[in-house]
Amino acid sequence: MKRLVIAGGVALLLFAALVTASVMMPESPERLPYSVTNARPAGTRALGQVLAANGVTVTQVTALADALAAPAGATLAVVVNEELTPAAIGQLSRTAADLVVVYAGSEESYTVEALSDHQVETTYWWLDANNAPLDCTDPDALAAGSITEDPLWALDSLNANNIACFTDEYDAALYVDLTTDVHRVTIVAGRTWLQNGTIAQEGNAALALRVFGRQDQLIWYLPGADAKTAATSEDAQFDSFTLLPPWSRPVFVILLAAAAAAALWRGRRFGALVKEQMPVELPASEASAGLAGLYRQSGARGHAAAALRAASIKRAAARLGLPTSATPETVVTRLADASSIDPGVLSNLLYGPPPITDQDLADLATTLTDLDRKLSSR
Amino acid sequence: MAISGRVPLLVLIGALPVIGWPQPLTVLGWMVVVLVVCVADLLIAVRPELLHLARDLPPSVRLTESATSQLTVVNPTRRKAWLQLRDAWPPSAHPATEHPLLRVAPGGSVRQSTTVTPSRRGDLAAAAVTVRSYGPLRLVARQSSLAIPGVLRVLPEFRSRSHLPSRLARLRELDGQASVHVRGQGTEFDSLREYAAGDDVRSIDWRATARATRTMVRTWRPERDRHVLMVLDTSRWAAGRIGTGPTDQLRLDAGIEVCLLMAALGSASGDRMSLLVADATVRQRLAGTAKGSALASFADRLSLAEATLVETDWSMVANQVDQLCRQRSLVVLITGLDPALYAEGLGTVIGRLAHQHQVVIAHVTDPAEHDPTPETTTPAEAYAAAASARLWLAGQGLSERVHRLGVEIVHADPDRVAPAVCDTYLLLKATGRL
Repeated sequence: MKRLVIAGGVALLLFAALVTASVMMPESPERLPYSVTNARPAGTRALGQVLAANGVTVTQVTALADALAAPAGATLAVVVNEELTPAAIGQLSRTAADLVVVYAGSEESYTVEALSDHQVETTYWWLDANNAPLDCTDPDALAAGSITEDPLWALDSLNANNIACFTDEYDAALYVDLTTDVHRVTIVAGRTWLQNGTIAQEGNAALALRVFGRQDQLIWYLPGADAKTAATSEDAQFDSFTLLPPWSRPVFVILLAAAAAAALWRGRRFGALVKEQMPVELPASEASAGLAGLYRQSGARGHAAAALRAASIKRAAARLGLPTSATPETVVTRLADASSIDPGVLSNLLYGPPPITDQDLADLATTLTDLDRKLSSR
Repeated sequence: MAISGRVPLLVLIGALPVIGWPQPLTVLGWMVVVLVVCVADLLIAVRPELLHLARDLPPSVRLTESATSQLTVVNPTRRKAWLQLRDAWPPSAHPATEHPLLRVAPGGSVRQSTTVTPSRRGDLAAAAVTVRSYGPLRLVARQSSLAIPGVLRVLPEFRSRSHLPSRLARLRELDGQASVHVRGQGTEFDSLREYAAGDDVRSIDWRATARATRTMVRTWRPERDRHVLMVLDTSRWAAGRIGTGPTDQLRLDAGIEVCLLMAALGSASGDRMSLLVADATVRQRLAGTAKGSALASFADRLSLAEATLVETDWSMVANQVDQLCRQRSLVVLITGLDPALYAEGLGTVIGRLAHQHQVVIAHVTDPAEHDPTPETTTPAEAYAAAASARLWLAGQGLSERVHRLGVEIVHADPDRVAPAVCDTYLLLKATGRL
């Protein structure tokens, strides 16, 4: 038994260590959605492989600095799943490379708006027809003809000079091409059009290969923790240990170790617990309590009153020296003499009709008790 | 293995070098130092298995009194031993919880006393002795539990012994030491002696006077050498707990008090005392003890009596009574007179027993139940009062029926039942009905 517990404890510790290690380890880009090295349905490895076969150098980066190192004349693809920090957006907007923004369109995005130099906003995508009309003359879009339309949010071009393709009734577009002061920005909205599982559908592949294959070099940027807004929240950035002396962290570890040792010191039992042989016990009044419960459950007021009256008469008769064979008349007469209570009242009390309600029974019991007291204190 | 409070302190001292060199390596280094010191201390500690332990225990103690269990430890090794001993007892023994550190020199020995104050009757078995043997730095100890058997018999409290002096005085009065050397019921012929002024002339033995040519009178003394059998019923009835709070007790405890007080009184009056503790089977059986030792042997046997949730096998009890009583005896049945059980149980044998012997039934009543005037204001209380009144009436009726068979019946509260039974015994003795 003890060995089993120890083995179980060790297994639990190993499991805990494994979980901790997997949480601490940086997440591998190969498992991320939209990763060009991810061969699963949610990855975009198919696109990366075809582009590489056609002479485009595809490089996947997760660090902001690596993305910013993209030279002029290269394409920097930015996958926008979550909002990026203002600093990252500013730096990306100033980079010399052309931007292609892959916008999943599952929620409103300020990042998309900022990267387009505020020439594009995100808006609801609303399409009743089967396919969005092309509605533009962009050669890349023309080559594709149609793409998978599944975003919840799409793009609203604010500048008439921009090219907006695949629009719905309210002029929300899936594809916007524009040029800022610094570089060309292409934004494509869609949750699955690039992914391995769905890129072969409709004109997805044509659009993707043309957009991402514009230059010989493609930097595929999956924003890491250094560019996401969650990482910049004040709580996470603030390290309380920086306010304390430099030795506080190791001393804290020492304190923890001392606490663990103290727990071990106090927790170790000085020998096993000792069993006690318990005696058998039950309430002495179990029969009486059970009978009372039965009387009450069945509302046996007649039986209960008879018992109370008989006991009272028996006690009184013993006290007054009456034989058990005494008639009710004798009992009432003698009791009336002894207690100076009206014989009629006594007769009704001791030999009257059974009580009708529970309260009558309680009153009868109280009156009989009073009679007992009166006789015993005589 | 167990560690002492010094280990966390030693770890805490590590804060000093860590403040000097605030590096993770310092912390790790200190931990390694602590670990090495602890392991060394553990390895040097004397192994508990090498020690010789012996227990010194009194054979018995009366309930509510304290006994001392003494452990003697001999250290046969060449190393000094620092020990902590825990002499473990069941919780009802209330053992002392102090475990002082003992220093045992090589070849030396030391004693530790543990005071136990049992709160329950019966055989109290000591549990294992746990030994912690510390190393010289007293950081880490080897811990091991060793079985050192010991049984302490906890005798009944015998609270009713306070009633004994007054009953013994009554007995002496009966016994003629207080000038009742007269013939009468409950007396038997003792001896002949010369007439002295004031003697009852009716007690002159004329035949002896004629032989001795002096006036001789017969003297009388109360009946002696009678046989008294105490039958204690340990069935479900005995398991009933009466009262609440600090004065509560089992019916069994009250019955044990009856047996003990009767044993003390009966052996003082020169009667032979036997004991039978039974429910469905015979639990204890003690046949006619020699004079003077009845109380001790009764207490010893009764300390083991335990109530069980079964019904008493009265035909078996009657057979046992036949075996134990060769002559007409006083049979005291300490049992409940329950109308619900009487016809199938006690009622099947009481007639025969009452015919062959003088039977006394001692019934321990619940003061809360037979209080004739309970406070009744609510219907629930009225029903409860009615139920207890009904049971009381049934019990009274049964008592009257059984009394007509010549059986004496004692109804009394737990605290009063022992003296009440003794009074009945003295009354029977005085009236020569034994």
